[in-house]
Amino acid sequence: MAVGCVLAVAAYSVFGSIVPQESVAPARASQWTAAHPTLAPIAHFLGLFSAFDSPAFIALVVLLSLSLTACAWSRTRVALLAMAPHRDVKLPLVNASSADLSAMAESNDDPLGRLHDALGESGFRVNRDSGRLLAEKHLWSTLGSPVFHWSLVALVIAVAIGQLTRSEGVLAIPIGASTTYSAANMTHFDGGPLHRWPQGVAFSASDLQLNTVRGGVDRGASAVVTARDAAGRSVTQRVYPNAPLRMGSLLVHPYSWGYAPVFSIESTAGQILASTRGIIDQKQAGSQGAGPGSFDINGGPLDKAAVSFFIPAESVDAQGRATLAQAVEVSVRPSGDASSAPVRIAVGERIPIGQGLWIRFAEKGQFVSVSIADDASVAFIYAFFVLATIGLSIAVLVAPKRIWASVSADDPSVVFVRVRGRRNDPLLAEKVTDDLRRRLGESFTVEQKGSEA
Amino acid sequence: MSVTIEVVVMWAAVTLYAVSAIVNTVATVFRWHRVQSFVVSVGALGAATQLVALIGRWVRLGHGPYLGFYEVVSSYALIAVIFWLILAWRFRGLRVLGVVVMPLAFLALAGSMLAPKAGFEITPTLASWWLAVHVTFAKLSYGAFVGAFFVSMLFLLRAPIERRLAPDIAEKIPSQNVLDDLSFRLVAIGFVFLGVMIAAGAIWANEAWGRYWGWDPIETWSLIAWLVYAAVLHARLMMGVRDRKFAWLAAAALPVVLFALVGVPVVYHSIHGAYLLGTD
Repeated sequence: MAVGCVLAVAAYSVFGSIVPQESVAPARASQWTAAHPTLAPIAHFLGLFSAFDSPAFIALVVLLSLSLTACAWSRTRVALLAMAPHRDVKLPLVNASSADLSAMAESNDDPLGRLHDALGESGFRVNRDSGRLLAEKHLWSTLGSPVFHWSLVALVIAVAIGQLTRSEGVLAIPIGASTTYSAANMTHFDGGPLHRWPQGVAFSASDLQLNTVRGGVDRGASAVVTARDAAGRSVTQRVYPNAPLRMGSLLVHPYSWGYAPVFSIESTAGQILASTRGIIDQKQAGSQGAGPGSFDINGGPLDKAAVSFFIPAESVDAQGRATLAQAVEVSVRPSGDASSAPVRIAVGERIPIGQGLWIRFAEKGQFVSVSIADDASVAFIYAFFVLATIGLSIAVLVAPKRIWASVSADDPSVVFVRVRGRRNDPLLAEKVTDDLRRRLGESFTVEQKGSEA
Repeated sequence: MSVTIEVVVMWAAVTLYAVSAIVNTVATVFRWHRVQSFVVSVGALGAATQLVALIGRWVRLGHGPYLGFYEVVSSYALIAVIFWLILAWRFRGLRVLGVVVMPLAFLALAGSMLAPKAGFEITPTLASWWLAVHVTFAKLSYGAFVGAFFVSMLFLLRAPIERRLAPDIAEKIPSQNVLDDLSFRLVAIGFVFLGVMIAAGAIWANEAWGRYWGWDPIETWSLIAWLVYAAVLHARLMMGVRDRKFAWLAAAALPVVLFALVGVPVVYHSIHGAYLLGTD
């Protein structure tokens, strides 16, 4: 059943790979839909755009996990039985390979003792009990399979818990200021149903560099980001691709950067009534300038009025890259009215916007936005990956062997040897025979009597 | 090493692979058993030559052979030849596999030489140690699975192959038990390496993007390949599948991993675009 589940998940994944997944690549999913007008409705009907979030896939994974658990349990029993010391029983493995040999000595001078020494030299742990001998090698490797399977079970559980508790979103941090890590401040936010917000975490940013060169590679724009928690612990580092900031379960990556001009709404007398920071992502910058950005005035006589602003280009170089002016063009659209014509104001200047209010361009400003993933399961997933790899390597690459030997009742110079090894090892008899012949030398004749693989 | 010297050295490797392939094929047809050592030596010299060019390119560009069609396909040709050489050194009788491996390596390397050789820049996403780990284990797993494929085919086609070979070469081919065991070991090693490749890719993705798995086609198909080989190993270890049946399974599973490594970047829009096509 486990093999069937494995192949079923593989087959399902083939279908799931046909179209982009909406949950991870919504833009590509839209492009695919537009590019395949005939197939897209069929794919939607079949649920292919969320193939790996669907109940069918989850059910398959649950079934596979149950099979894995059953396999892990049975393999654990087998391994513990196999490792029980000095038990005179066959390796209780399904389809274990076995071989029967005979070793005939030229003399009766303790052939079992010489076999004992030969097996010891081969790395076996040998115990002799009057006329019988039991040798074991690498029996610990039977633990490899249960370790691998239990690690996979744990991995699936860790991934499932991680998906329920993780969150990911984008946080814009003005350079030189601080932003609280909270739902209200996050955009593009996606959180699992059991996600809990860490309390009192804030991020600040400084020293934005547009071309961060490390190791001879331009890593793009980066800023020094500081994460601080409620207990006052902080982590500070420059954040760029493949150099994320870590604090607890939080993983911070660079997302974008842009311009963050600060505006203040003032009375005619100059009293500041409100202060707002506008956001223009650098992706909105072109040869004409950067923008537009916008924000709403809340409260007062111009409540709900929309303010649009644009940072014009001062000059454009031969490659079409603009140098932005130290000014913004501002227009205001009171609620229900038309927008005013854009007016250019330099840093520190202000213009009237009606109803006795003025808007001042207080500060230029920049911001950096970071993607913050909160996933406490990652460390566990890494650990289970490692354990699974170790268990798997041991299980497939290290073969356990157990050898029983006893002196023939009819001829004390003859020793009967039974070997049990890993299942389906076609070379078990050959390897053990060759090894014994090499170690026992010409004073022994070692022959295979039969084998089963 | 300048581009000109690199290209000259690579064409030298192509020539050596061609000589090895042609001589091997002719010798097999006409049963000239004495040239076997020559064939292996020329193949090894070709691999060494290609390795020199690869190292020179690595030093010049600052990154390994994993960006663009030229680098990727030529490095896979090298891996296939290296695995054949290891098998041929371990089992003299497996030199006969050169009849298939060397022509394929020649075609792959010659084909890659027709692709643009301009170096692609390492992007911020690719600038990570995990890339080297991920690619190394990808190539090792590929080599092991290809080795398992050829050993399995030798197992299945032993009789007609032996009829074509000179008697003293045919008798050196390892026994069917040895081939069966070798095929299993190569599948097992390839499976372990494939798992490490997937894990390294997931860790790298988490470092680069903050998510360890996104069901990108290359990720999905890597998992599919891993699941298929898991089924193959279970068939061997739990269900007693051996000999011809196992050989067929090991051979039939290879196209899945080949599609995952080479086909996905071509067929799908994948994060692996840069890997084969030089696009990010």
